[in-house]
Amino acid sequence: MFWIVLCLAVLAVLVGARALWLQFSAGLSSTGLSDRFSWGVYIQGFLTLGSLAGGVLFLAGLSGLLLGKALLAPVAGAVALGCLAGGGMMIASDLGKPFRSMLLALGKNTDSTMTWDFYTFALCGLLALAAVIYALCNALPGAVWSVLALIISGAFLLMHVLLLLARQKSPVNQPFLALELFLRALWGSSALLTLIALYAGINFGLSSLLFALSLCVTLTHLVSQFAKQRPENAPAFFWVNKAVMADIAIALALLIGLYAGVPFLTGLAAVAVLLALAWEKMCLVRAFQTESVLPAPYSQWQPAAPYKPSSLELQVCLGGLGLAVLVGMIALRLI
Amino acid sequence: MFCRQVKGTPAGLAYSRVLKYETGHYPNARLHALPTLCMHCAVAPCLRACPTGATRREEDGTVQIDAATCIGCRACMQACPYEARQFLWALKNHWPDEAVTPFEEHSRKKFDLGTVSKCDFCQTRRAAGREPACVEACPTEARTFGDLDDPTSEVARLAARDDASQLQADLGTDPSIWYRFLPRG
Repeated sequence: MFWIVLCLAVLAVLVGARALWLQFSAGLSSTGLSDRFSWGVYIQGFLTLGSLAGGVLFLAGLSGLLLGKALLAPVAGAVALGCLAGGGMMIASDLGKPFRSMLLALGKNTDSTMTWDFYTFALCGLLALAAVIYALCNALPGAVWSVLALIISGAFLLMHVLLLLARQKSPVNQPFLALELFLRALWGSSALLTLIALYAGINFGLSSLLFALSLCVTLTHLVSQFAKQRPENAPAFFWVNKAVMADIAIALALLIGLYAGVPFLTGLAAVAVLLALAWEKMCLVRAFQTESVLPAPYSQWQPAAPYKPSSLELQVCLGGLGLAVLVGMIALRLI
Repeated sequence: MFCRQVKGTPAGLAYSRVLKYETGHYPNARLHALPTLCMHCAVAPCLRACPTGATRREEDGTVQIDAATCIGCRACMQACPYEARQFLWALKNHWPDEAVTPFEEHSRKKFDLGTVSKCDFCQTRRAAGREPACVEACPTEARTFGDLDDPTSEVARLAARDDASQLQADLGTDPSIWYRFLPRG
């Protein structure tokens, strides 16, 4: 199984690398992006993988502080390293001048969310690498690592929220956005760790946490939908939308899987959680840009910005995902 | 057109877009034109958003882009509430079926593919003591250019009138472009 997944990941990386080379040659005009919709699947992928990386490091830091030993740190480090590698590939693919990306570190514009996103991204990478090196030396990182993991990964996740709020009159104005994004990052990362535990036959004791997070996410989402301004002539239960229904279904599947002892159901629910995380990022990025930022009546004849990712973009995303799996699996194998 | 001629912008890139919109209802509907360009805001969101410092404020108060340090992340485009910035996705010909003209060939050198571009208030023309191209070319003299900080200037006098207002003034960006007779409310 390990080798099959590894081969598939290598294949995906090769496809992605070829697509990236073609994109570098043709420029970003080979994507489906436009001036009105300038952040697409690369940013969605970066936000998804970044959330997973930040989430696993946060959980490892939290467990390290609560249990006194960062038992989750080696696995979290390996998973985070993979997610950051994949996310890094996606964000680099999104840049018009990727070879100038080191200017992010030299720009020193501390007012920019993007600058802090880069710093926290790099620090998360160092923390993940440190956890893997500790594991290679048959040791566990101490309390300092746990505290740093909590602070830095928390800041990394926060930057993603600020990135979405950076737009003036941002359409992404749902209540409890930060709390929801943060909980969803933890939800997704605990699902990923649960899947790894199921595959490796290790018990991290994360199934209960996954269920608890599932309830929290569903509740926050429900309250946030309810607190949104209700559109005129909307049906009475308009706020119970498909996403909330899906959250409830996942929570129920987890509950049954947990108490009836059906690992397959837990695994299925964990996959659904990961898909829900990616779906959420896609919805956010679309809601962020579809409408014109110019007010009425000036924007009355400006149609909603169309966006359909090109096949090249999707191939690069596949490569990014493959790189995340490849690096993560190699790191997990090493430790 | 004169802006395009002076700046040599490739096809698809327009520093001064003219938006059309309608007010009122039949039979009293009216069609308006709203020229939009970079507002050179006093509190510019793009300055905060740019991670590399490629977007900077000049001594004359205008907001400029240094293409050599722009990484093409498009964070400034996301932050701009006036959709004034454009990304150089490709350097397109104005006549796609024909060969590149010598003028286009010459102008292309000024544009760096994969970076963000916008109106610079005709920096080089102003340095030579001339007005921006759009102001000079407007046949009805609908555009006025000057120093808003000088209360005796024509532009400051016009901006002080009751019928003058800024676009999306409620955002607190304090744009340097003032319009007369914008619809209220």
